[in-house]
Amino acid sequence: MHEYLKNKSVQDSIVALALGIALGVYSLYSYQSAVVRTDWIMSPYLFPLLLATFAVAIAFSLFMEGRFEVVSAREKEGKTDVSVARMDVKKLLCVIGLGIAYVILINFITFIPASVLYLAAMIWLLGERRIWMVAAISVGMPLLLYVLFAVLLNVRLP
Amino acid sequence: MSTLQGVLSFFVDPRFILLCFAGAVAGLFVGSIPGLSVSMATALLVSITYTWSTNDALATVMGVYVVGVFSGALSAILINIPGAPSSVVTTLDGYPLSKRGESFKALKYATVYSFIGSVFGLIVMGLLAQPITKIALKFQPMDYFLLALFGLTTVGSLTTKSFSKGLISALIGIFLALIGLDSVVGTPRLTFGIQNLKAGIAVVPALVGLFGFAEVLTVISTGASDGEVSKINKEVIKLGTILKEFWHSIYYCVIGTLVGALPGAGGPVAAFLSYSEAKRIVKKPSRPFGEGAVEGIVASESANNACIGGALIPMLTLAIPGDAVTAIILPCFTFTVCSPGRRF
Repeated sequence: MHEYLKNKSVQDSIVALALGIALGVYSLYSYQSAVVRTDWIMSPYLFPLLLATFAVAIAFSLFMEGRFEVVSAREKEGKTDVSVARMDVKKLLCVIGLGIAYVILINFITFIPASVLYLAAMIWLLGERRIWMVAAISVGMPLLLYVLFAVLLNVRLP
Repeated sequence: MSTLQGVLSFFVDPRFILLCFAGAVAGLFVGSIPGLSVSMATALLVSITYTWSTNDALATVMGVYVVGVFSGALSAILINIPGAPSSVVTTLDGYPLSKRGESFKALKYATVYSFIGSVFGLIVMGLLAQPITKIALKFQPMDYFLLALFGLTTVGSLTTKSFSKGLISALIGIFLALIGLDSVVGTPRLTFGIQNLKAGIAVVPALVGLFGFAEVLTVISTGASDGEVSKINKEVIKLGTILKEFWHSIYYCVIGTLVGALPGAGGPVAAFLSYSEAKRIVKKPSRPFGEGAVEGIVASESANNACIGGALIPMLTLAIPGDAVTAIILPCFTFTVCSPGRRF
């Protein structure tokens, strides 16, 4: 990997640049394909486009910051600033996947069953292996929330 | 004089005190649990207290409101998830202090300066409601735009290491706020065809997700899932030591009250502005800002609690609510003898 790409600011700048470009393209496409076309000044996609422009500019600024960090680290110690922490990427992706699955599941099997499944999976992933503990927390918490919100406060659950 | 006597008479009325206390306990519960908002609690309470007398209803509702705003700091300090939007800034220094085992100290500073902020805001409301309302009424859309822009630039300065990263986080915030129906044309924007996104993303779920889920991801990704429970060590902190920041806190309270008096602005804006000011005026903080400086907690908590008094000013004098909670409280006044507005 190129030494610049190991720097966290450079990595962040690439993500910001990608998001900025994606938002800009989406805004322009949405404006062009709108059923009711208005002037840009009245368009709902004016602010997203401005946001995308700023994001690209700031991404460039962040890239320069990262480049400066790399150069100054190289001059000081003869090596680059590698500030990327070691991550358990598999677990991280599992948690994100579980979160997405939970949101989708709520629409199909409603809040309580989806929460039971999600909590059980998360607690298992976090390292708890006692079945009774996993069951107690994953069933008890949604029930508590149900009683508190739906029964006592009359707040509609998803 | 008779007005002052009338106000003071409430302090010796056991019924009034009891209702205030009950409201405060409910506010403590609602505010400290992330996901339960003060506006939701007051909305529920207003419907319950609808048939009560004005004094009883207001005692309970104000107990929930004031303590609910304060107790957002509890979860912000202890678990890095703000219980209320206005406590976001408190997490910046509160949680680092908690991780060092100094959560008791952080909570004590938050409690004392929340009290000072609340009292300051309510005194200013009593004394200067009319002049502040006149200033607030002179604010034009351009002034609101500049205030928002100023607030966003302070977000950039909050991240101690990189201004650019701070600005990127502000841009992400604006992006999330843009999702939903466009306020001018009324067409869906950035909803990607998802029906549920048409109403936009509410602040409280966004906060819980951003802070809570980020914490889970951090724990998972670094493999530190064994659990790190910081003990609350009851260390003795003299009141004199805490009150060293008193004069600075008055400055933050002024910011909080003025921002609170502007309809639409609120606790989060006031807390961000005050925190930015604290970084500018406090030359030698107890620790660097963002790493557990009590001065940061003082700025945030003084300002967001002073906002309460500020938000009540336009509501009482013009019947224009300063924030979401005062908008909900407004009917409590409207259906009673003390109708808000020009005749107040």
